Amino acid sequence: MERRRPLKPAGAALLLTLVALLAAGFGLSRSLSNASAKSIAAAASSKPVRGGDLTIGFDLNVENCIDPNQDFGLENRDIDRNLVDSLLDQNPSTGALVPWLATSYASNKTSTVFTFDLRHGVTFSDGEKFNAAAVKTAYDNVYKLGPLSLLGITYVAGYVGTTVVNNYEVKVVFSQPNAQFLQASATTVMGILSPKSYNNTPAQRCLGQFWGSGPFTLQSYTPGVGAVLLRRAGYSWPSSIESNQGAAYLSEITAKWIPEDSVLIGSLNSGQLNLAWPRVALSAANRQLIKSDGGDIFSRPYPGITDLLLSNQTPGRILADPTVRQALQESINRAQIASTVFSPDYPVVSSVLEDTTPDYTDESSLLGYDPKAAEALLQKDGWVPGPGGIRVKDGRKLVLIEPVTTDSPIVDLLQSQLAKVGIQLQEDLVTTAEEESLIDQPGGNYDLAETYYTRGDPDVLASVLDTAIVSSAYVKQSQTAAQQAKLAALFAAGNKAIVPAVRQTIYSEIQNYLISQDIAFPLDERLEVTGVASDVHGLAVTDEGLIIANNVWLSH
Amino acid sequence: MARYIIGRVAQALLVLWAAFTVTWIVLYELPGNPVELLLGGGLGDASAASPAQIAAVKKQYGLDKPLPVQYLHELWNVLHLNFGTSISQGGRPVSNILAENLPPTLQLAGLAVLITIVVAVVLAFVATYVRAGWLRSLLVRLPAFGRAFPTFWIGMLLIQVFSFDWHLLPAVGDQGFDSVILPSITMSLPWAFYLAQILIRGMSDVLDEPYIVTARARGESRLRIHVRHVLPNAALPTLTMLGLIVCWTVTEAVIAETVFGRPGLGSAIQQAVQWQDIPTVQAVVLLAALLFVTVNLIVDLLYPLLDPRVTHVPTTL
Repeated sequence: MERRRPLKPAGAALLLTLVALLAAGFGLSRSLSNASAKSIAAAASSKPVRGGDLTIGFDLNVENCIDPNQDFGLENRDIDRNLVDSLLDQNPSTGALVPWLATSYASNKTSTVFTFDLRHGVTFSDGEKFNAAAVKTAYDNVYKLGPLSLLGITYVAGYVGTTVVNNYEVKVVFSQPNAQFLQASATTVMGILSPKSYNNTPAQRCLGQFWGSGPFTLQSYTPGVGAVLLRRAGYSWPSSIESNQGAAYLSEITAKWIPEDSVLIGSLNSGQLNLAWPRVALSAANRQLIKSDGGDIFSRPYPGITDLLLSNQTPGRILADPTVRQALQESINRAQIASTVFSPDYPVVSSVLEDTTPDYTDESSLLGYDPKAAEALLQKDGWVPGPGGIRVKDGRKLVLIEPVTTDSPIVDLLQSQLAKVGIQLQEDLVTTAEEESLIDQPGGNYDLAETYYTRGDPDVLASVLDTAIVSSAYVKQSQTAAQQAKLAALFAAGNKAIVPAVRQTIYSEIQNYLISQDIAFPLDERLEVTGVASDVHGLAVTDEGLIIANNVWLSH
Repeated sequence: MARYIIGRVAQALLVLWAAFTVTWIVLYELPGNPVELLLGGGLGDASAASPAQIAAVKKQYGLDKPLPVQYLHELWNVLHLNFGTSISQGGRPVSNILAENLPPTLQLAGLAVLITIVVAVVLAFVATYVRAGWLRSLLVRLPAFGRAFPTFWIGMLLIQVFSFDWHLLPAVGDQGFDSVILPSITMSLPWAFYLAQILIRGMSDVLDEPYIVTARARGESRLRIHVRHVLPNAALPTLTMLGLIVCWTVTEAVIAETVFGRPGLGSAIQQAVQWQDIPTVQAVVLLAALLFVTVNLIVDLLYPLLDPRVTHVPTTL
């Protein structure tokens, strides 16, 4: 019989430990090898190079649709912006509206009729001509989409029709003042698809069965996975403010969805991506990682609504009590959110609008952090400290429920901030579908819901908070009847205003009202922070932060 | 034998029916309104839809009928391989979604299973063959050590080394054979270690069998004994486990597909669950159930062919 040697556990364990250490050591060698391998970008010639495939990595997918008229998610709008053109464009530095497919525009005194003179010589990629009839078809169909277009329905509220004055002039008519429509006509939502596209159903258009007049055409789209865009030769009608007034330099754009952020950054650093475009701003650590590997950071605040919470004021719920809402507003340490979750130099939120939005007003004085005052308010209101540090009133615990679809460091930090004053923030992790049913149906069991929106116009607040045009339960429940009426009146007045100073006054009042009435609870500013590889040149974005690929070129 | 096969097939059909029914009940009991989701374009505001629009959508998806009728209607459809239309992908036929996502997952799982078998067999073979005590004890412990690492961690480590550091393979996507290598290794390693553990145990037991002594007495070389007697006899009991591993590899593809940004059944069902796309979730669950019963049936039928001692014919007393 064979004599078996006794097993030697000690030696085996030692060897295994060494193997583990070696594996960890690979990580340390990474930065060294990458830094030496990267060469400095050829700065010799700044002349655009033709050709190349720009690869963009996104991380979040919020819709399985690529139809510009239906899209609301930033990633898909990034793609859409390069497939379709709009009547107007918006200057990213000033917010001013400039000509694009429309050479000039005018509005009547009551902001109910908008006249556009159209550009000649524009064609769609299916060969059809761009003219007044095409604009009429497009706008009629955006209106027809109804609730299928989350934003379109607010942009064209009160749409009566589009009149074809002649082949290259249209009048867009509304039954009520709609001053925000001019900015809306610069968005991808009001992008013009070819008339033939509208013979396809909305579902078909979602899958990519449409044609635009943009600098690229859609070759393929797999929802949540990727898309491929091809250069359209002969394109010569970008907006008046673009540096490249001809066809694109790039021959191809490949968009990929990479849900894992570490893989997204690593792909950029190892040359597999030219742009890393995450939804939430890159952390300070990741920015450092990218810079040390020879890449660059492109940073710009998104215009629109800041990242904020809306409360559920349904009678019977804790936040129906204005005192608790006021205490909540004063218990949020916004400076800490900015510096801890993002970085010490990250801007602190100061309103319900981002500071790059036209008519933004600084409301920092209303957004102070005063936990002692909050505690005093709650105490006086009858919320006394209870077991576990959570306040109790008449046997009811001060627990606020917030449904979330992903783990969020902001909500985690908020939890600890609110715990300090005796409020328990219950973070419920649910699927997207569950969250929808919770907040869109009346009587859902939630107290706080997060929202934000990107748009270069203060009327974006109406798209989310005007109960006259939005009938979502969570919006209606965020305001008392009196507040709903007041806001609806203010938004209507805003749409009537054509004098900039008057418009500014109205939207300032709206921002002030939303915060002082504790309807909205701003949490943080939204910065677009993108990782850019060293071979990318000419990167530019629209006012809403969408990539303008026509200007981009890759050095080899 | 024929009776046995018929019996097993009938059993398999019963399992499939049960899978269908249970998922149907569970999914329809979930909170959330598919009609709303559909009208809202997946994440939109459906409360602006008119009652007429809501009624039309309900009619289109058969959601206006009483539950038992809906159930039977669906069962009838599934029997005709009609899996309905996706709610979150705007009315796309679910069978299209399956047809699109099945090949990449099968490609991935196929290579992963191959790697699993090769790694497990080689590891177990070497672990039980080497004479040096320290090496043997190291190799025998390696599978347990390896199984301690979560799949996604292995994936990210492989990406870091082979893609970002050494630029050998792509990190994401499904373009070309290159892109399937890292995800396959990621998916296979935990199962390879698991299978290796079983094989090592089995081979150690076989080494104690009397016929091994006989073979040695006959003068067969150590290597030949290991290859011709130890491995085949130890491998047989692992066949059942291998069948399960094949099924688990396919159903766990979602992890590799997420980390490596690949399309496939895993990411399709993950999306479907997020958006409460009931028809798609059901179809994928049924597909997984079909895979399980088919693989198990194949394993059961293979057994008597590989081991004459195993027979499905009941012996009389």
